[in-house]
Amino acid sequence: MPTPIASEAEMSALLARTGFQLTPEQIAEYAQAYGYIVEMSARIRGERSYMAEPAHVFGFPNEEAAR
Amino acid sequence: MTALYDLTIAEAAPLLKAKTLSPVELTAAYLSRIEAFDGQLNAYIRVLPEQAMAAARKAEAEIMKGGYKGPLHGVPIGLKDIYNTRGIPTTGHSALYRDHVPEEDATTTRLLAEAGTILLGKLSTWEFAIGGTSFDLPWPPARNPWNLAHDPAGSSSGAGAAIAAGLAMGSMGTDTGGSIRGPAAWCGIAGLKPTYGLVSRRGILPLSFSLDHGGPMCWTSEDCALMMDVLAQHDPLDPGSADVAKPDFRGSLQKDVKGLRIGVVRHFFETDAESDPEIKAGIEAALTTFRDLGCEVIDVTLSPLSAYGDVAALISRSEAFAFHEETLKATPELYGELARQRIMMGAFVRACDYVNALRERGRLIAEIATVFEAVDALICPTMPGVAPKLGELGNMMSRSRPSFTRVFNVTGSPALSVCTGFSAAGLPLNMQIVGRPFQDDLVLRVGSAFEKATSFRDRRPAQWAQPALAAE
Repeated sequence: MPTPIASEAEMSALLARTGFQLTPEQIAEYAQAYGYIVEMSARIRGERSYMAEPAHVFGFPNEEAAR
Repeated sequence: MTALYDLTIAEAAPLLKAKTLSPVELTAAYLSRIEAFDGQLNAYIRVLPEQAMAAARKAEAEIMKGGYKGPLHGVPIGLKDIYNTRGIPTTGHSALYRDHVPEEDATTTRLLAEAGTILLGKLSTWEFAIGGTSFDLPWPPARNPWNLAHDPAGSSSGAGAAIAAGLAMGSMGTDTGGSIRGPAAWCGIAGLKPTYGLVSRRGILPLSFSLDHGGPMCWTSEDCALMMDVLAQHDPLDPGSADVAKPDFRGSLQKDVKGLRIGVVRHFFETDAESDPEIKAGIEAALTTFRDLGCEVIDVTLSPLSAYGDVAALISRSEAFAFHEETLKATPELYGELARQRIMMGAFVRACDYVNALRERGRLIAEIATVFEAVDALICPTMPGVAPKLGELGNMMSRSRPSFTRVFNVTGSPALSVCTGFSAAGLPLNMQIVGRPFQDDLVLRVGSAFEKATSFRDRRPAQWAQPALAAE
């Protein structure tokens, strides 16, 4: 298990933003697991050429494309 | 004499076509087995005896009149309970959807019905295909037919258990991080996660739309091919559906595997996430079989397993949370603890990290395409070990468990799990066969050649034998 990265105050702020009402036990659980998210997010960052964009593409509905 | 429930679809189809086996007789035999054994296995959430027998009588009448539709006509199947079935509850194994009755079938449900399959019932799943093996839901979790104290894996747990125990001839699972292949591995059956977009997801409860796949789970790769011949259809109602030429899946099984180049991703299971010795021995024995079949075996290197795991977790948690946020906030008491924990993690992924995960995914897809310039198929384990005891899997973040399956959800590659033998404790060993996008037919051909060159398809879980229900 990773060391919890968020302090109690940070975790409270994160949870307040989500709008969820959680028990202190649940908050402690998420603080522990939040470490995984932080670690994974850090690992996938890095220098990328702008040629690596776009992360997203979208297509027009067939009817639009046919016009 | 072969017991009816030991017949594969490929074996039953000519009997049904020749009118020497009746769909009514076959369906009644399966319903009888479900009634006798599913109280121990919990593979089914809902059995549909009246509908199944009515469909069987209809199939029988059609066949008798010369209206045989093909190899799935009259074949009894089960659907993971996240496939929409018109007029029949589709619960996602969750209290939240306990009374959810869809008004239309999933595209795949419809295709299978049009092919003449008989729907026996709806199969257990992890809650919303994410919750894990849970005991706080309206229905109990499925158990492993090879040993009831052990986990069948998930999330298509009922589908894996039902096929292995002979409680359905074919089944449909879904796979966002390994949910077809994991249960296939631990239940000792064949399970195909098709190429992303080859099988419609329209009408399947979503988990993570960019990683979700639907696919067949059967006793053999050949049976998976028969189901893919029906399932692989472009669906304009699924934005991810690919409009590509459809291969002849069953026909391609007749081609030789001699000369194929098999790449072994050895670092996955020897250093990145060292697998159990029995799993590794199963892989080595399988490689010997492939060499004997005339394949060339080559070691290949991909990015470390963790690179795929990071991308898969960040994307899947974000997309799952986006789908569930409002209901999770409004009615958390209707979710089981494991589903709530896992879905909730998506609340903490920042938008830029989700986008970066998508960018990294692009790099990983490009990398595997390069590797496939030198090989025709990849081999690695499906699961690093055999089925553990029920309840031994982790409870919060699957990130803590190495996964060989999520790799190919990230890349969208077709990936098949097959049985490579049995452990000393009698639990199935496993292997994953992976191909280039839209070469699902080649993947199935390699799997089928392996199954036919070995004897592992001759062994069923002994305790479910019921010789009274047999056919000549």
